[in-house]
Amino acid sequence: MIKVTDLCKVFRTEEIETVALDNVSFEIKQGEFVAVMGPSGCGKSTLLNILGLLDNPTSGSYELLGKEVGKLRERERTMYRKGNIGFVFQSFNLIDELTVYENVELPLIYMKVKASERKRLVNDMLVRMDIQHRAKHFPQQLSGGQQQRVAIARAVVSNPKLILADEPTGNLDSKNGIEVMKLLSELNAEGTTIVMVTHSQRDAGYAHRVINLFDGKIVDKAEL
Amino acid sequence: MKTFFRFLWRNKLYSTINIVGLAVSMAFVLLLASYAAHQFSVDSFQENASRIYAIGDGEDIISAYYLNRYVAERYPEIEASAAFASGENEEFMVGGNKFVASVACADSSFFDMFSFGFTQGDKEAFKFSIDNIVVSESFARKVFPGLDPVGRTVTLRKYGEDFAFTVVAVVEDISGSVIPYKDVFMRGEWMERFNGANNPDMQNAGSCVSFIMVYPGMDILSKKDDMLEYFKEIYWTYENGLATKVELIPLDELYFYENQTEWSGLENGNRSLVMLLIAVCACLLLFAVLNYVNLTTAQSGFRAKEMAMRSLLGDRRGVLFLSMIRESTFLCAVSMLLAVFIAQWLSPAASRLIEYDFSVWDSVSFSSVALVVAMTLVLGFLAGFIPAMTISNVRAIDIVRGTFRKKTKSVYGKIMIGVQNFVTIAMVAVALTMQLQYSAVVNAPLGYNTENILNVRSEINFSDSRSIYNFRDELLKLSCVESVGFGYGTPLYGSNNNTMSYNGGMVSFQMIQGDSAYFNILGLQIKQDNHLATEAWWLNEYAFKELGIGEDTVYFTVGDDTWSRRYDIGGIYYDFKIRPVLYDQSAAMIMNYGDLPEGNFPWNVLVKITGDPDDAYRQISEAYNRVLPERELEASYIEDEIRMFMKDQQRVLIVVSVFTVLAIIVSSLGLLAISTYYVRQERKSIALRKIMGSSRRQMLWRILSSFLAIVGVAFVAAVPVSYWLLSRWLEQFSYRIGLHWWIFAAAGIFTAVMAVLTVLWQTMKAVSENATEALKTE
Repeated sequence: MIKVTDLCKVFRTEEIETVALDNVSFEIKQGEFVAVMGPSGCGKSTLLNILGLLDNPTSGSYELLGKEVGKLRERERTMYRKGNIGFVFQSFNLIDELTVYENVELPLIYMKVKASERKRLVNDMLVRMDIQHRAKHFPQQLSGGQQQRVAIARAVVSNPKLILADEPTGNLDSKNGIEVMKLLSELNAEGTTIVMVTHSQRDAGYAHRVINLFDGKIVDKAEL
Repeated sequence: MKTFFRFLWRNKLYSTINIVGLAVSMAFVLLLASYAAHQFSVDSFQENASRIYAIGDGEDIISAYYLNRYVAERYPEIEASAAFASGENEEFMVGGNKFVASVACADSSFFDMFSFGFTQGDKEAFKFSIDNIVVSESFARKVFPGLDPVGRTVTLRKYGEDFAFTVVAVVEDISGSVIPYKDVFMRGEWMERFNGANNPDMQNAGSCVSFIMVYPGMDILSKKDDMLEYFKEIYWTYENGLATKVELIPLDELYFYENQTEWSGLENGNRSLVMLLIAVCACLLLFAVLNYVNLTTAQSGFRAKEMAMRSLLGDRRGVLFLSMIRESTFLCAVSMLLAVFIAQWLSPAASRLIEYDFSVWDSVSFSSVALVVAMTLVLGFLAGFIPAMTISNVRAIDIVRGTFRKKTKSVYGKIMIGVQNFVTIAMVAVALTMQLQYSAVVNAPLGYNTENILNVRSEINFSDSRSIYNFRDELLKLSCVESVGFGYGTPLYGSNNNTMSYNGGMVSFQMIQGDSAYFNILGLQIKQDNHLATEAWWLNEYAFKELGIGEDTVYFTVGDDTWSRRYDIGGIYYDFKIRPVLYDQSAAMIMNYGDLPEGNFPWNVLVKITGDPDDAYRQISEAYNRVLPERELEASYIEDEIRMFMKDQQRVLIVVSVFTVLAIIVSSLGLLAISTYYVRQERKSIALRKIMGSSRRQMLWRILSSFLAIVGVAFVAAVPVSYWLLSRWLEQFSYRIGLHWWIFAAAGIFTAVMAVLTVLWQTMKAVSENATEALKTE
């Protein structure tokens, strides 16, 4: 599913040059649940951004679903991302001016799904995430756990092949965090590939394997 | 659009400022468009507009009565010609009732040349006899209510005689033309009957406007040179070199033709006023659009998350761009709708100001609606372009990293605040300068007394000399009358003109003559008295410059090879304004007769009153009726006459005042919104500092000083720009103010004060907020 070869990402300013990723290579198969761990500043989020087609590597190769995507232009990345990749963020990143229903519906609108089909998919997803009773509420009216469930619903509603989660439980208490991790595990069990950045050993325990990063390099791959 | 509506609802201050600012500006644009459309369509209904010309000399379009006939006889290109003279109000008797009517004299072919509509009678009959007249619809309704006016007799009372006329046709009330509305049209021949100077020798060179109409396809303009040579043979003003050019002004250019004075009697558009109105409205609209751009771009930071998320989820940049344009177009459409209602509400006041009947509803037509829709779309695009470019350029990764907000804070935020303040300072400086300039023009000192002086013109109020002197006797019995003077004209109207040969050329004087009381009332100041034993003409200071002689000269000689005359100079008067303030200064010959004995027929009776002017007028009117019971006094205070001359400038002054107020309101709204945005950006910082232990005063000072620094930079940038613009603008005025430093200081201080007040208010709110709540939501 994902094949990364000698991936490098260098950030340059006038004064300094920072190597965020240094010749990183790995593969992730379809249906795997992989955790990426490492200390702050090791390059985890940079790696996730590149995997999510939010940024391009400075050098190296990135193949997604058999296609080289490392050198795509922004427009092409947007097109490729649509429907294939879902995102779950630590700070949820829901749109405050949209209701729960509308937030979840948004990816389907961009995929030009018909209104009736959208309605069915969204309602099914809300029921699955157990937030259908909050469909007309705005994000500010929800708890953290509920917001994250909405974010997961939004990420999953388009049935993407890959979900990228950046510290999905970082802003949640342990009870809500466990709930979110169970949800992700369920999705993975249904065949969705998940790559999750986390500091939490507990959360990493839900993954099949862990990629450890340190100073931009992979220092260890462990299968659990 | 859903998120946009909810965003507007949640940010009511921002929404209100944008919508109201745009709506007010658009309302003025709507009113102006209606006015400008009218101004630029004067005489557009005239069928022969492309063939009609007025004859001018480059300085005015008034000429002698017979001129049009001579020109028509000489040039076969000319199909018809007519003199037109806009006369005074005259007194008519109809069936024993007295009516005062405005009168014009026009030659017989006038109504063939001009396409005015007739409602009754036969316009051809106007040609059959010089005793036939045409009346307006309004006059006919007033004088012959419910009756057919055609064939009825109307009697003119003038110079103590009665003249009977027959109404042969009724013309629609004239409007939208250079030809002014008149109640009665008489045949032009009466001009010669009433004033012998309107003779074939063309002695009176300023009696009427001469119109010619050429055959279709004929080129009369190529004959101008020949016409000039011809005029040098037959027309004394050209013979003597007083006039040196011949201009043929097409009818469709006549309304805005600048080389004409009010003496022509035609309706004359003020292109400067129209252009000023256009400039004012364009400025207001520009400022409102700038406000919108500034505020929306500022607010884009708060919508960045939404836009970045949309981009992340698959919305393309082009689609985001278009959605922002759609939002701004929607806002413009809402503003436009509100503008229509505001414009209609303002119509009565605007009508009074511009003396034009505004009505937005009456202007509704397919083309006007299409124009409004097009304007809304264009505005929507222009206003939304920069915010759309800013927001649609958001990258999904920026929101993940949080870098977009930082960029807005550090770079865009300061630029936007600076731009807002720059615009405000420049706008206030411009508005203030215009206000001062037009106020100076309107209130310029004329060099003679103007307050509480009633000007009674003898020509229209008296038939003989005795009644004038009886009137004076009656006036002097009144307690409200301080003094009564007799004179021949007033400085405001230029009095009589005397042009003479001098030193191989010509020199022109305005003759200011009157008795002692006349001079005392006007208060003309003596500079030097030469104490001559005999009566002699005095000169004003300017006359010496015109004559090229020193003020110590005691006489000058006029004439040429065939005649000469010596004028001893009795003394010098300080210059006083002859004609209205915007006219060039004139040389004057002044004669104080001391006393004008009975038997003279002075042109003017000046009455210096005391107390309430309206009450004084009533008393004077009663005194007049004691002398002439069957007539009604027609007189005006000199102040009112000046005001009439300065009507256009007064109008401009009011327009500028309105613009000043609006400019201040629009810029204040913009400052309020931008300071709200600025403080909102500082919310997290305020909360943290509060937690760290900063005092309220320290936080206030920190925010105010950083905001004022930006205002300072904007001030430094705005002053040279506005100074340059205003210098250029002031150059067009012969009477102008200086560009004082305090104008710019006032604009800067005003902006700084507004900035301080708005930031202070917002900061106090932020400082009072719960710090942890602020951090949580940030």
